[in-house]
Amino acid sequence: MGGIVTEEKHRITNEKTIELNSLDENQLFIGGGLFVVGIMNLLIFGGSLGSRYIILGSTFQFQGPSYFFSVGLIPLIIGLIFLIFAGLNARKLIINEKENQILIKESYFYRKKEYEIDKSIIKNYKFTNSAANNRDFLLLFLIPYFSFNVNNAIGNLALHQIHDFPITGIVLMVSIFSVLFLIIIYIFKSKCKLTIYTDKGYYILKFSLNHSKFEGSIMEKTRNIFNFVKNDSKITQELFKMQFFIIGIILGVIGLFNIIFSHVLLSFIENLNAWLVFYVGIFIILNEVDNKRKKTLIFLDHKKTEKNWGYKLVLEHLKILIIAVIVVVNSILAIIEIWIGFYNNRTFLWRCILSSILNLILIFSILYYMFKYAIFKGKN
Amino acid sequence: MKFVKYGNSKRKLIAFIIIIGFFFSSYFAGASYIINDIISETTEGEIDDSNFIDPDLQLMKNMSNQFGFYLERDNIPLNYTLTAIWKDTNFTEIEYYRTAGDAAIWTGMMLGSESFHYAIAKRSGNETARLDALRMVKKILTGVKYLLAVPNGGIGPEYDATLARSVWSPDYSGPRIYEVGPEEAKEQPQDVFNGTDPYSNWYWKRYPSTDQNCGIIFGITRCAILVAPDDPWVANLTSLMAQQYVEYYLRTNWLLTDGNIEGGRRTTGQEFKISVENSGYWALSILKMAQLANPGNPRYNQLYYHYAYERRYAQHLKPRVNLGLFHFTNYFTLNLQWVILFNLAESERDPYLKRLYQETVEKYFYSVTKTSRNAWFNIAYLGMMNKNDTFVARDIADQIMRFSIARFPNNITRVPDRGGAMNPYPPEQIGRAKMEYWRNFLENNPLGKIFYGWWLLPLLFTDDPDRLLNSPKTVDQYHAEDFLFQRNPWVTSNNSTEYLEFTARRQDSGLAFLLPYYMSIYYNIWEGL
Repeated sequence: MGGIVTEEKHRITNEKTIELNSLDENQLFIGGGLFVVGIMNLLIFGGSLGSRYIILGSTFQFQGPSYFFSVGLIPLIIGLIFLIFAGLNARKLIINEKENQILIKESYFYRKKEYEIDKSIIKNYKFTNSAANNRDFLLLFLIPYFSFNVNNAIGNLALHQIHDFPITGIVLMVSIFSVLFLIIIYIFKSKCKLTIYTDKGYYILKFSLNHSKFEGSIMEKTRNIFNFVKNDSKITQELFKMQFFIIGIILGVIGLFNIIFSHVLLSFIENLNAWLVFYVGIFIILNEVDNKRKKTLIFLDHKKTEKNWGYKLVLEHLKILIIAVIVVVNSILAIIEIWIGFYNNRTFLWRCILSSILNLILIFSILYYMFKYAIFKGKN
Repeated sequence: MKFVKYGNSKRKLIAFIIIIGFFFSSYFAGASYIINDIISETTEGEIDDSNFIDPDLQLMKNMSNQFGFYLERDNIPLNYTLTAIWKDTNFTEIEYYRTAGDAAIWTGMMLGSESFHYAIAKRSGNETARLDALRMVKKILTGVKYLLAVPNGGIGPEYDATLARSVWSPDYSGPRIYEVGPEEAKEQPQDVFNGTDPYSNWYWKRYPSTDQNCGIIFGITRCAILVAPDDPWVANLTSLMAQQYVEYYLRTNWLLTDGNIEGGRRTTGQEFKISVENSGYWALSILKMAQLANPGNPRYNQLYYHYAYERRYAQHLKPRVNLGLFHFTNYFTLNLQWVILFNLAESERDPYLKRLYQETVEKYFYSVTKTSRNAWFNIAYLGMMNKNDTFVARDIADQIMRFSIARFPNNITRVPDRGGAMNPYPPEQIGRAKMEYWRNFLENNPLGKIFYGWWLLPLLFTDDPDRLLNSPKTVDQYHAEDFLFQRNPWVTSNNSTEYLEFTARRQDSGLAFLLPYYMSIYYNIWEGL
């Protein structure tokens, strides 16, 4: 597997050769940063797994482990994984065309690999600058991590006894910093995927480039290298939908607001929905930011091999589909129970109305997004 | 770069997921089967009622009077409950006090117990008995007040609500109270601290756990329901304390925290995040306390229903773990769960919520303790379910009556709540077949050894096999305890002569008798027996 590669420099040796000395410096830098944050946490809070006398306090439970385990451990692990991956994927990559073959050379520091693909068996190809397949996985880790720490740190702000020591500050800074860093890496780095379809299967080569370089020479050279497939390949552009982006913002804000301030301001949706809605909001926002830049170089007939839009919707949005069902069902149940409560107690009509409206907004927003997305995919 | 054959990758992936899923689910299903099979030995089966002692109401009343007398005289020197250690078995002079580390939970539960006492005295129409009970309620409520006031500087919603495990007053000149006081502050500076102004010359033992808090919440709630309507002082105090708790939890986002500056700016952190993830009944129980203690204040009424309905806490009542697991270890945790759920469910008047709570009681609580012969759990069950069950009522009566029967070796009873005697376990009561079978499987069978032995053995087999019982202990088979019904009835107590001699000087508060007794009278469970 190619992994993620960042171009350090690229030069065109001739029209049909791409040569990259690749080291993902972003991954290296962010991995290093998170690793240092994790180690600093370990030094500050200590690595005790649980004791009554952990100087700077214990987390999770009574006499539980030190704060390192709730604040620093995840950045440490992710940082370490990033560092390892960045190192293992550092390579020199050469793609060029010979008479009857496409040559792809990958030179890692620990091994060399060379692929020779006969042109005669190449039926198709696709080159796109969006292959964010790790993002959702990371978000699934990061959002509970972020929510837990921010939610608890807000509570610790009320402890005047520890105001002169910045435990809360550290918790907030580290969790926000880690999440922002990780989101930024996926927003500002373009991950490219070259797929070469043959008779028996397909080759996948993943690497990443800065957006400007993707749109510039690399895209053009790729088209040149593969022009034997068919001359009339084209570049397609995903559409950025402002209405989706706004829905993402609405859901993200409602979720985040409830996670942070629910205890003080008495939010109007339940805890599980707050987390899930926050996740959906972030997902939609990132998806739309991606779409704004996403371009795909494809062979014209490529669309014929594409799955239908319904299949695509389920495949691409399976997680969101599952979460949407949970949120919608939960919101409907919440509305029912709110009115059962009113029927039994008749104490707070205005709250029942407000809660119902907010839950209806959630239901409407998510359903609107799913249906519109499906129609949108169908048309495109 | 990688090459993927058409069709292969998905098939391989699906096969991989199925194999891994099958392996993991089989592995955990196996462990779950073993655990459930062992738990079933303590949660299923019949209780032999052939030797049940019938309730003698007059005898019980006399016993309660005696327990009450000793409690007031010996166990509440600072208005919260402590274990008195006498100089010798003549019981003429108290040498020192113990159990200050857990004083708050037993004081809170005693406040609840005395509130039931007040309610039955009031119902009897005997004004002297009512005033007597009211005096005890006020005394213990004063103790609770200082447990909350000393660490925070006062009582009311404007103060924090960090609870002291115990406190020491500068006016106190009685026997030493181990674990709190000026000597302990020198010996255990990491645990014992001066109070907050105006209590800066008091001492308090800090870092309360959920145990301490749930006892106090139980006490305040019972007091608010049963006593506060008749006494403005009690009503005002319970109202302020309940507000103090709830407002503090709202400020700290439901963290049961206790930060200090003296020992190095530490916080005990999230000892317990009272959130829906840890079962909704914890937060609801605290809010229920505030609702009941502030009947004229719409804020606490709204808060309770907001969490129950809008935030759907009432839909998340399942305990975080199978409570049957506490038959292996930390049995006392069951007590905390029962205390906090009783506090919520018994006092609920909303029919929809009541039904949800009762379903929770039946499904997750009573199902794992119905064969434990725990008089407190049983009476709490009847109270929450609003029902009369003759068998359960006789079971409770039998356990309560057993405080009065003579014990080995010196034929003394457990009235007052003193140690030094305990009836032995007959050989047929010792040993548990399924436990032995699975222990043998995990220790000797290669399959058990390889797959489960390394983590299930230390998790499930914490007790010596010779200490395991196949039928629960009766009251006469316990040695001296702070609260007998928080101890595991499925393992033997230490009945060595040396230990009994050591505990012979110990006198506990009598809570194990008083609480189920007063509640049984309050709920009329022996009527018609």
